[in-house]
Order: sequence, then structure tokens, then C-alpha cells
Amino acid sequence: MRLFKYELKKNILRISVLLLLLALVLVNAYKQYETAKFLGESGIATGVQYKSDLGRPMYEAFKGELSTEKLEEIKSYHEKMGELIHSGDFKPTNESDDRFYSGFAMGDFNESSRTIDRMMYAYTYPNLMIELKERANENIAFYEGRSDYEVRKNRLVAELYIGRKINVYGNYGAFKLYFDYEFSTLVIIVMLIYAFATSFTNEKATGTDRIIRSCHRGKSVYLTKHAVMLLYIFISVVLFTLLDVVRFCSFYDGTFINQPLYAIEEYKYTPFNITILGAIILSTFVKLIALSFVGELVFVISSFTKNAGLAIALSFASAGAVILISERIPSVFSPLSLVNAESWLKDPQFINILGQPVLSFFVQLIFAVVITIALAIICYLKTAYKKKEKRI
Amino acid sequence: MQLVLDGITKSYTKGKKRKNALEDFSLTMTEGVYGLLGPNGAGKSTLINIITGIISRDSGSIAFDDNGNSDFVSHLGFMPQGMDFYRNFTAKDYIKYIMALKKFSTDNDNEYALDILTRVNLRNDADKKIGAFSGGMKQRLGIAQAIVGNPKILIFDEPTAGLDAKERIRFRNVISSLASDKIVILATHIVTDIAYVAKTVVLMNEGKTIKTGTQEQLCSDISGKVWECRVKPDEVMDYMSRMRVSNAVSDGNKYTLRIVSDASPVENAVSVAPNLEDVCIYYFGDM
Repeated sequence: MRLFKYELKKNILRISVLLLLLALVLVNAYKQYETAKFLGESGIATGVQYKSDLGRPMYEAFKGELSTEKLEEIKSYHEKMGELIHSGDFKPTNESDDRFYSGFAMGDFNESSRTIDRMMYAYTYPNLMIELKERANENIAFYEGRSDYEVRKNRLVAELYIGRKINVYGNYGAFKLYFDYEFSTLVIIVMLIYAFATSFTNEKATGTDRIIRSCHRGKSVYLTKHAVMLLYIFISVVLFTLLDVVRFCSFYDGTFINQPLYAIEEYKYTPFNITILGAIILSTFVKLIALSFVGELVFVISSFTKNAGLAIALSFASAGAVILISERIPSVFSPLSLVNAESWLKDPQFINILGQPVLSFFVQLIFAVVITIALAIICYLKTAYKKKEKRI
Repeated sequence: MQLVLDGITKSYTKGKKRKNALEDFSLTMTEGVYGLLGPNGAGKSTLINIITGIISRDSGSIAFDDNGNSDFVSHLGFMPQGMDFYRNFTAKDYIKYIMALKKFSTDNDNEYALDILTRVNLRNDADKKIGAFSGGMKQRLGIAQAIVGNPKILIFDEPTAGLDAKERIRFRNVISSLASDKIVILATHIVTDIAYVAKTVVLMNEGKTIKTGTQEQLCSDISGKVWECRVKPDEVMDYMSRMRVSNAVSDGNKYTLRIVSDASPVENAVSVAPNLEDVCIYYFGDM
């Protein structure tokens, strides 16, 4: 425990690290706002702009339990607004009119149109799943006798979507934004490199590595450094997850976090039958693994040089190279692309392993764990391993 | 208490060549200061790295005995060559960190750390960040960390490099005060570091032990081989290029040269008593 305290002090509890963390948290807060604003204005976000948009009153009136009555009501209201606009029997004015949710006939017409689309998605989602299942069954029939793998894969697909339905109409913009948002992960990586790239380097540069070895504590220090690094990753990932979720929910609506992930239209084909909250927790866990890979990479670089500046530069260059390579190789071989939850949460992608269809996400996860362990072993051999002595 | 090094050998492969960094080194040490003296690359650091367990040896054995206790790892204090520190640590923090590394604790770790710092005259700087320390203060902190846990064996590798004369004297005094009940191994290529404190001097070169003994023994071994003679200023360079000159002092008109040589270098040369520097010049030439 004492070693842990001092490793914490060596790596994280430094003024420069804490100042950088504070600065990046502030930049992240601004970036969250910009992201939400941009997506809201361009209409990419699913649902209304909860806080500032004129559509909020209508959203508040219709959100919650989904029913045929609600759907009929909004449809009829939309028609009414359409007729009103066509008849020209309304006064376009800059002053708000209490008869309308948004204060304006045209505003209500547009908003009700969007509400109908979103409600219809939820309402007709089971039909979409039935269609999907039928398509999978057709594929099974087609591939029967031709490809056992395709048969197995389509069986999986058919089973995957059984019994799915959406009971609630809500705004999921906050969560869509959260799953898309990558800046906070970039912040964590920058901090990870800055705080830990010199971890082993500084020990070599100061000669402390020799004192550690002379005390035969190489293994303990190695393990303690890893514990500190993993703790940093855990705390920062959880902290930034909370910051991101809370912030995006403040822009939109976080009420429906317990709804299924596929309630978000962009995630209708998700292979995971979990709630949005479950998906957030899962993506947080996966991010921990992906960032541990980065942490190990940084440690390995740190263990090979005595020069702090070089260690930091090489770590940033390596992280950049890993990001660039990630975009050009199959995702299963790219541990870092796991940090982008959207990439593996959205669509089911299968990999043929000995004739069995396996979700590529699982293969990617296992690969990430294996390569992280391999890096940890390299770091161990370089910093803590002591060859057995030959004696005569 | 004794530390017995027997037949320690270590070799490295460089390219296709195999080089002996240390060859069949044997020495039995008891309480007192042992000076390992030799030029760079003599094998001093290799020997220290082997004793401290930083690197493995190819062959040979190390045995420690202190009233039946043979575990010397837990009785080892070590100050590596070119040691530096974490700038954001205070001196007290650093000592406590070393206590943690050595798995050493007391009822009051704070007080113990202050006691240790007092021994190297750093008590008043205990709460200062090491980043603000001078070279001499850092060196003293290096000694302080080595004596944490009151080790029986203390090893200092080139401990005075970069220190001014005052700090060197202070260092020697601290070492002397520690040596009464410990084995202190001092590796250096600076003769004066050892001349005042070492009871036994080990001369090393190219991985081999050249000579071992007290200063008196080493000096008496080259008795009659150190000469002084007076030469003209324009002859000095000629003497220096041809002979092993350990000192040259000018009195204005002429130079008095101290020459290490088996035979009298010139007719009027006078034989003088050798010192440790002469011994080094005799065995190593220029260091």
C-alpha cells in the first residue's frame, strides 16, 4: 500500500498532470456543448432539442408509454395543423400563440411530423423484426446444403431479434450523442500518455530502477505501477462516462435510460438485447480494456528508454500510429477501435471461426486482451524479470 | 560479519566478440571501507551490480555471514552511479519511499526519516522539494537513502562525481562515521575519495583484480619506483610524453616532476615515498 501511494505521487499527483487534467476537462465540457449544438441544429440528433427547442412542450405532452391512442392523437393533430396551414387561416406572427404547443402553427406542423416518425419507428419496430426474421429464414432455406456457416449465422440472426418491442416513446438524443462521442476518450489517452509515459523512464534516468532491483522489489513495483495505471484508467473512464452522460442528458432527456438499446433508431439492429444503461456500462467496461492496451503500450515504450521527452513523443506517435492503422485493418485486429462503442454496438458483424459464426466484437475483445497481456509480459521482461543465476 | 566473493565472473557478448567484464574476482570483506579503484570500464560497476543483484553472474558465489545470518539482500544499502531523484518529492517523502521499497517501517516513519536526514545534515531541508536541491544535497540524500534500515553492507558507485571539494570532504566524513560496524564498498576512479577512508584498496582494470591490499601495502609494493626531479619548463612536455608523470609543480624557473618509473628517469632524480595516486599511475598509467 505504501508503494502504491508513492507510485501515485510519481505518476499522477503531479502539478503538471493535474493542471493538464483540469484543462482537458474544461475543453471536454466545451466540446460536449459544441457537439450537442451541432447535432441539434443540423437535425441529425434523434428527437427534439429538449431544453431550448420549441418542440419541447409537444415532446413533454406525448412522451412516455406508447399507445395507439397517442399515435392517433398526434396524427390527427398533424392533419389539423396541415389543414390550418393550407387554409391560410392562421396569422403568421412573431408573437407566440397559446393555441399551439410551440406557439406557432408551422412549428407544430413540423414537430408533429417528426414526432409521428419517431413514434412510428417504435410502434412498427416489432414488424421490422418479423421482416428480419423472415429474411433470415429465407436465407437459411437458400443456404441449406450450400453453406453450413451461412445457415448457422442466419439462425443466430433469426433468434437474435425474437420478441423485441419498444413500449415507450422518448427522446434518445442524449444516448446517441454519448455513443458517438469520442473526445473524452481522446482526453483520457492524452492524460494516460502524459502521466505514464515517463513511469519507467524516470526510474532509469534517476537510477531508482537499480535501487529497486537491489531491494529485489522489481516485481512489486511493476505490479504497483500497473495497479496505479489501471486505477487511473478506471477512475477516468468512469468519471468521463458520468460527465458525458449527465451533460448530454442535460441537453436532451435522460429519462428513458432503462429502455432497450434498440429504442434508439440508429441502433435498431444492435446484436445486444440490453438496456441503454446496460450498453453504457458494457461500453465503459470495453473502454477499460481498450485503454489498458494503450496503457501497456505506453509502459512498454517507457521501459525501453531513459529519455522522458523521447518516451512521451514516442508514446504519442505510437498512439497516433495505432489510430491510423486501426482505420486500415479489420476491426478485430484493432483493440483501440473498441473505444468507439458505436462501431460494435450498432450492427451485428459475424466472423467465421471453424465454421461457427461468432460476433466479431467478442473476437476483437479477446484479441485486445491477448495483445494487452503480451505487452504487459514484454514490459515485465524489460523491467522486473531477473534471470536465474548460474552458480558454481 | 563477512562478505565473501569467490570467483565472480561475468562476460558480455558484443557483436560476435565475447568480453569479460569481470574475471574470477575474489575478495573477503569484513567491517570497514573497501575502495574499488580503477579506470572507467575496469569492472567496478559490474561487480557492484552483481553484488546488489541487479545483474546475474556467470559463475562464482557470494556468501554473507553475520552471526549466522546469511541473507545479505535485506542488509544492503546502495547508492547507484549518477543517481537522481523525483523532483516533486520532498527529501522526507523520498526517504519514506525507500523505506517502503525496503519493506522497512518503524512506529514513527516520519521521525525515522528525519533522523536519517539528520545524519547527512539535511534535516532542515526535509520538507523541501528535491527539485530545488543542489548537487551536493542530492548526493547526501543519496547516502541517506542507502542507510535506510541500517544495512550491514553499504555500496556507493562513483558517489562523488560532480561534487565540489567541500562536498567531497563532507561525503568522506559521513562514510567514515558509518563504517565502524558495516562493510562499505566504495567504487570510484577518484583516488582521493579512497585515500582517506579505505582500509583496503582493490585495484581493478579490464575486469581483473590487479592488486589488493591496504594503502600502506600497495605503496610499499612500489617503493623505490617514485622519483622527483627538477627539469626546465621546455622539457616538461617531453617527460610527460615519455614517462608516467604523476605531478608537476613549477617554482617559476624550473619544474619539479614526480615520475613513476622502475628505474631512475634521470641522473639527479631522488627517490620519494609513494602515495596512492602513484600506485594508480604505476598500475593504470593515466586513469
